[in-house]
Amino acid sequence: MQINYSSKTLKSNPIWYKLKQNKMTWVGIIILALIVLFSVIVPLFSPFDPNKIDLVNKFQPPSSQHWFGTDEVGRDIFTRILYGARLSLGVGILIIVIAAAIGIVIGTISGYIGGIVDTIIMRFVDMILAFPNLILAMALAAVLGPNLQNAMIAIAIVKIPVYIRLARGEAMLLKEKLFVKSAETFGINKGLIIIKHIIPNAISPVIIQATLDVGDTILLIATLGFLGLGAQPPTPEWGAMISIGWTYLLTYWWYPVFPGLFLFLSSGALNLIGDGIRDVLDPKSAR
Amino acid sequence: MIEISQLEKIYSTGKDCMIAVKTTNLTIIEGEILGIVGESGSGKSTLGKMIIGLERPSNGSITYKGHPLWNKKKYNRVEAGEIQTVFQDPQSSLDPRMSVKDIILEPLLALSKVERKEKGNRERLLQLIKRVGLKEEHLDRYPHEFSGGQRQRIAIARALITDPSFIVLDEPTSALDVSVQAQVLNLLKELQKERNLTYLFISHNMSVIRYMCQRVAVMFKGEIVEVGDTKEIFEHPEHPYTQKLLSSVLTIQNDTDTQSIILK
Amino acid sequence: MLEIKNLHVDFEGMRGKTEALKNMNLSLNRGEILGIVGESGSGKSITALSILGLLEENAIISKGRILYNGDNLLELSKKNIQALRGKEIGMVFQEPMTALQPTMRIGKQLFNVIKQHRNLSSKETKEAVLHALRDVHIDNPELVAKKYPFELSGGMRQRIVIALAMAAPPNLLIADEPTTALDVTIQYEIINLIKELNEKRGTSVLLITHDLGVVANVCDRILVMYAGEVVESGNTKDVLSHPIHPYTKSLLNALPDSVEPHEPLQAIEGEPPNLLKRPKGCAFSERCHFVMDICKEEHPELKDGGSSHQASCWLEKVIV
Ligand SMILES: Nc1ncnc2c1ncn2[C@@H]1O[C@H](COP(=O)(O)OP(=O)(O)OP(=O)(O)O)[C@@H](O)[C@H]1O
Ligand SMILES: Nc1ncnc2c1ncn2[C@@H]1O[C@H](COP(=O)(O)OP(=O)(O)O)[C@@H](O)[C@H]1O
Ligand code: SF4
Ligand SMILES: [Mg+2]
Ligand SMILES: [Mg+2]
Repeated sequence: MQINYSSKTLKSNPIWYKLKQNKMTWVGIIILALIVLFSVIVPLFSPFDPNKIDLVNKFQPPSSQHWFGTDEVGRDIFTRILYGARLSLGVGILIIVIAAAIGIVIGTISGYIGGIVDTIIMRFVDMILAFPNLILAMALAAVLGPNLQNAMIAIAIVKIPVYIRLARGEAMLLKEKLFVKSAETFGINKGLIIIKHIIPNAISPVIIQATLDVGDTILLIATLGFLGLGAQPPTPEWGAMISIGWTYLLTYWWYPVFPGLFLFLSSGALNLIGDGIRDVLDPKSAR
Repeated sequence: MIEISQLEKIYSTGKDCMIAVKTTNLTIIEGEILGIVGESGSGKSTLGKMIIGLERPSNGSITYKGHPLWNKKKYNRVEAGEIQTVFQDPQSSLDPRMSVKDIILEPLLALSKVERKEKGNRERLLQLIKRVGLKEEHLDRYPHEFSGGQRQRIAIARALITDPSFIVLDEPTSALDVSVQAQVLNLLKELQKERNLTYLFISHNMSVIRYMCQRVAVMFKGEIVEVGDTKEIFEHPEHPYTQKLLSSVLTIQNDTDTQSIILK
Repeated sequence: MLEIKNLHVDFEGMRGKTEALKNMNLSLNRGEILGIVGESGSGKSITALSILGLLEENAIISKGRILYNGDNLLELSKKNIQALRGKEIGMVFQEPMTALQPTMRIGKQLFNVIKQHRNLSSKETKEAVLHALRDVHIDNPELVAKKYPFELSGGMRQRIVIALAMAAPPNLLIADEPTTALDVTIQYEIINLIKELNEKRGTSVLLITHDLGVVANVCDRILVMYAGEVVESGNTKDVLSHPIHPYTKSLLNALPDSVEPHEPLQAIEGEPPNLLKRPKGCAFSERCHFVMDICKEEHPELKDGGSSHQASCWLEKVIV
């Protein structure tokens, strides 16, 4: 009997066994769960509308009524932050899912087919990867026009190459595996081999990378929002809120601090979870 | 059945060339088990791969029942599923993410819809897995749940699903223990008789070759240095390499048996 | 010189406790070659790793002693056992590459090891390197010393590993499947080499293999293992020509050499037991042709690690 750590084994085994031992992952999970829980519940019960202007109550400091205070037009910051959580998490996950899906298809084709197709695709990938993430995202968002949708497209474009590379690397390893070679001897066409063998076996590292990336993406969205290249006011987006709140830091500290805190907490929590998942699915990188 | 003539395979890695198979001629007769022995790197697998289409010959030709298998750079598949393969390492020749059922039925994907229906029906599948010594409940499991010997049975079932006439077996039992090897060799031999299959049986284990093959070809540094009747070659090896190979085999001698090597 | 007494090794895992070694007893005398045979998973490597203190972290040694010249190796500190490895006990594993530094020339690797263990000047050490290479039958040691491991064939690499293992020189060599990855012709040479080193230097050897042919040709005594237990032990000749245990018999009968090509091979049906829940009685009972009622209920014990030919089987005990 061999002890087999393939991810299939883990599927039939309690993943929790390993997760349990990783305390930091649990800290991440708990923080994220709380944020998600609040962002689902609070908007349902909050007496405040995230966008309703109430100039009488502007710049209220944190109190029992406005937990995190109010902003320059009297909106409840706590409510806005939780609406923002819905947006940031939703958009962050959506971008990554799309980027990972596109990346894995292109990457496996590139890696498995090889030859000139691969060369061309990799040229593009190298080109994109030559720029720092943020700079490229900013440039693209600026060119496309500043709104949330374009910011999402920009971030997705920036992120796709990472997945292409990853999936391509996996595909090149898998191409040499005997089970792929045998499939070739059956005379099955290449598309089917990619669908049946390459993608299912290349997907785990892509998922790991994707979980690690959500936190980063949320930061990118916020950054673009902060720079005025993403979601536009009055959308309750964290980056945009921090951007405006920033100018009031010295007088009304709560305005930028609380969105910033949530941004920090949620991207941090996602990173912890990502690390945990990587350790579980990929024993090679575990310490 | 298979006619190999002047076959050559040269790998070029950068500046260097490496001749893996050197002008080889070989005939495989229908219904026989032809063994190929030789040391590691002597070109056994490369030869097998050229027959099944995984490596392109640099020169020469291979014909299958008169039909050329390689047309310039393209592999001409005779008929999907006519030639099948079983590889050495059953661990890596089965996709870890596919169920046993999907694995066994996979070669049918290359067939026409009608044929796929006909050959992939449940009754036939059940009959086949029973024949190779697996059970119905194994069909929904995944490869990691099986031992090496069972995995090799899965690989054999997969090779048989298309009703091939010719199978290349590249060290099918080298990764297995003696006791399991015996089970798999028995199975392979029975199947060959029942279905009148032709095998190209690659191995570096002389005892296995002696037991399995009617004829054997000895490969040395990319060349076939000796071909003939297994018994003949084992009793009267002509080429010095064959002689060395035979005298290197460490066997369990019976006390009376003095011909086996006894170390100084 | 080496004695294992009543050793139990378990592995803690997700699905429970694997009893990988159960009541292992072994004794190796000075100058002797002792073989351990058994199929994969039978506990051969675990035995070797226990001696060397190289078991993985999830291993638990629940019982037993490993005595080397009277000292219990299990009680030694990490540092002391490390000192013992290489100096007193040399080791050779199946895959030669794992024992070699990929980025260091062969000569340099040998130089370091020899320098560490022997009290020699640099010049003498250089001589000793060439000598060591010649000892493992490398014809042009000057040339090979300048090469990197990847430039050599598998057989050459294994020779280098043996040269490294023998550099100290140790009194005990543990070789775990040293020829399994090699061709028959090269296997023959390596096995000869081990035998020769044993004869010339009196090094004791613990040779682990699944190949009965190898064992038959070099070992003085052998232990046959099945499912983490020694099921038969004795002189090589006795065990192989008059096996007592049904498992040993079946193993010998399963060899392709034991029948004519037209007869079917005598395979052992079934599989070894799951070590997570081993059967109450004899571990071989599910596959044994001679199984009796007592076999399923009570576990047959081997008397000790002594040198007489014996097997852990009720059959023998009932007859005797
Ligand atoms: N893709 C490749 N590129 C370069 N050289 C190769 C390639 N594949 C095989 N070779 C070389 O061709 C020679 C023959 O290889 P082959 O795999 O046919 O050997 P083999 O006889 O099957 O050996 P083994 O018993 O180890 O399986 C070897 O020297 C090998 O290094
Ligand atoms: N790190 C480990 N964790 C759990 N089980 C292990 C571990 N290493 C070995 N085993 C189990 O111990 C048993 C004996 O293994 P081993 O000594 O390596 O066998 P072999 O006789 O092939 O050398 C096997 O059942 C194996 O699965
Ligand atoms: S104890 Fe019984 S079951 Fe076990 S080997 Fe002996 S006869 Fe067979
Ligand atoms: Mg090969
Ligand atoms: Mg082992």
